[in-house]
Amino acid sequence: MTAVVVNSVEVTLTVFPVADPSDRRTVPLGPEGSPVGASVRGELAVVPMGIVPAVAIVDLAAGEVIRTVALPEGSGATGSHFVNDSIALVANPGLNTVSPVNVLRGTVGAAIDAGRYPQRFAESGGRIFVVNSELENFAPAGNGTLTVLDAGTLEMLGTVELSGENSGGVTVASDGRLFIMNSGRFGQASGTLSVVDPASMSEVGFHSGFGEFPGTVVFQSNTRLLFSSWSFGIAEWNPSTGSFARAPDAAAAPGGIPSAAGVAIDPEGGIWSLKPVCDAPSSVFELNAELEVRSEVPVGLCPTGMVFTTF
Amino acid sequence: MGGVVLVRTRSGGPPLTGTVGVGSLGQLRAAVDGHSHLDRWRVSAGIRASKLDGGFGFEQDPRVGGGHAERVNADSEEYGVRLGVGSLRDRPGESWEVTLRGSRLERGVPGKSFAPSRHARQQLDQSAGRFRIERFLAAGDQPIELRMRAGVDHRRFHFIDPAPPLGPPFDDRSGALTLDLGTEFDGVSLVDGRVTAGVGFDARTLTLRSDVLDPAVASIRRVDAGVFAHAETEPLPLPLTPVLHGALRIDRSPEGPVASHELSVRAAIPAGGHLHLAHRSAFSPPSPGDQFFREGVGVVPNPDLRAERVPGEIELAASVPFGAGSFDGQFSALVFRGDIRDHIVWAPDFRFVWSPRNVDVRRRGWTLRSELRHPMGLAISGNVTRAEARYLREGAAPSSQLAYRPRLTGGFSASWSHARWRLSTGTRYVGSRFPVPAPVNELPGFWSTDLGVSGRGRLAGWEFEPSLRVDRLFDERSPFIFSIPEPGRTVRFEIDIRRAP
Repeated sequence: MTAVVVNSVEVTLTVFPVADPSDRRTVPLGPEGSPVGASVRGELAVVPMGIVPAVAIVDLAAGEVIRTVALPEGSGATGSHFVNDSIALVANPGLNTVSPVNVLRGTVGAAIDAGRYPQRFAESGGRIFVVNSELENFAPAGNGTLTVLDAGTLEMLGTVELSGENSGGVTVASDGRLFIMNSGRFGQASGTLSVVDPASMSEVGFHSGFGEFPGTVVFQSNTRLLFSSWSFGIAEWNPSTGSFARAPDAAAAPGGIPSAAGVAIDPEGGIWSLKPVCDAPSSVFELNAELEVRSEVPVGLCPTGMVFTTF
Repeated sequence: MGGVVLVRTRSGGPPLTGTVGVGSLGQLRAAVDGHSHLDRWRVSAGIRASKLDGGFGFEQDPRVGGGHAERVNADSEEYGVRLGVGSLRDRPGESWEVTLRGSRLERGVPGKSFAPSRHARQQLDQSAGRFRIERFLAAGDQPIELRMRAGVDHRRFHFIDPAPPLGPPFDDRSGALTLDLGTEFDGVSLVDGRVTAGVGFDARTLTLRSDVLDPAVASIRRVDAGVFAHAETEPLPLPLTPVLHGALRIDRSPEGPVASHELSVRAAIPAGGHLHLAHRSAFSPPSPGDQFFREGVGVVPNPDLRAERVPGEIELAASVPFGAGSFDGQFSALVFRGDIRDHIVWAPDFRFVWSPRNVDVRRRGWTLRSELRHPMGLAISGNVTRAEARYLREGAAPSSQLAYRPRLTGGFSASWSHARWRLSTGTRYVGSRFPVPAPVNELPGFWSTDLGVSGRGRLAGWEFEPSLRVDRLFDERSPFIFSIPEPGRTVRFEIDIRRAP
């Protein structure tokens, strides 16, 4: 099992075997960019390059970028998702569209309309859900939405209206439901959580109290939803009871730092958090079940995303 | 291709000089400077204007998607005026001058090569006044020179982009007002004339207002003031006849009192060479330019930005002349070592909001330089510099080189002068550099070559000095900053015009 960490400020990936973090490699992505996340499938990683309207295709085994595919000017490339072994969708938040990219040929298909400021994807029940933050000039201009696409044809099936603002992080439960983190507005501690049924394409649950600008959300188990924030660290919500096991005001502070740049779960249920340091080399923490640091792995400047793959 | 006639003013020189010219990228330039005497006063004035189109085609780097692109919104217009009144320069014992300057720069901000800003504009208006007086005060056999100066500098910045490639539209207005004054007594003779000393003080206030500041911070205001003293000996009756120099300065700053110094010795070494050893410290408060720079999605000045400090720098330099056949030459070497505390750099936070920040830097380096001259007008020179400037982070070993600071630079140049003609060429090397604050994504070093030819002539009581200059002679396109493309080969044709004596 291989971990892939996106280091945003230094525009690199840190790649290491989870079983042996000392065997780390740094993969430079290019002289410019602001990548914040990646998608992986086997040996390939797709990294949208943010301010650079392009997506880097990385061979993780070789540890190098094999091609950089240009996206439409003004893309703002953020968020990606593998549809199959050759096609990945990349969100263009600057253009309110998503682009299908053939990662093997390095070609880009016709853009697909989405909502305002698309930046995440999730797949469930044969459908791909594009998470639209509904931002105008980086401020919420309405509640978040999901654009629903057929996973096979990429045909648009509909739109899901959410009840929270600034929708971003998304994760899929074992029963297929989508859990979407609505970050809210800076400084207003207005984070909320939406629950969406993929079959009916409707919001079936909405919960408040998720604190100041929560970002990443992941399932560690069916009863344990972890979410992170630069403002409080890692908190925990139980979807079965609809209550907080660890509220934002009592969040875990990995490494003694009441802040986290993200949280991730590896395929074996291991918990990882990203140390929020952007002006110096940072690290990722491997946490135990109590969200205490078990080990620390050095990475690059400003880790903002972590994914896992096997090859 | 065209010519730019460049007028250069010369204090005490010809009363009227002019410049006209054109160049590549639609460059136009003109300037006139003149001076005259009015009774006991010297009056000077100048006006200048320049214009540039700036557009060109280039190939996009494959790491940002490749393909052909056009550099647009790269035009600029600049105008400036200058007026000066002062005492005549040929009156010993006293000189004073008042100068007023005004300028306006209006230009497009083309943005990054892969994310062009087609509508971003910048306007900078600057007005400044400066007063300077120098007087010799009779004090025994050695007169003491009194120098006083006062100045005001007001700048207004306007950045606007209704449709940036990324981020929200912006229309930011900022202003910076700087007031400074200083007084120095120099030439004070001590120890029976064997030591010459000076003492003085200066002060500066900087007030910044900006739309991009947090509304809770109406303005950034900073007051710096300092007193200083310096002394230098005459050549001492010791081996190598060393000259000692010392200087001390104490500044009052928002960060508290700061002392900086310089102690140096300069000595003559055999065969006409010189040796120089210095230990110094330095203090530099933030300037208006440190606070205003637009990059990335957002920009926010830093009201807590601290002054840069060099706690202690040591420098050793030596130069020796030599002969090689008909050539006379000089070889010089310099090594230095001195860390910088709170060096000001721009960097983004996790939201990609850019601000000036203070970082500590480890700084070491050396320079080698050599030049040869031939009586028939030929001159050849070469230089190489290695400068290490690495981030110093608490609790860690010095890490990577600062972003966009090449560790190795250098070059060669040659010129030939004969009668009224001069031919020159040079090639410069800019070494590899990192575009990020980490030792990754390295940009390769590159060479660029330039060529110049100039002449002098006289016609109808006027002197003309035409010159042609070609930059990046071999159409080198390597950019210093990755996202700012270079146009390759550019040409300028200049003509200096001045009234013949």
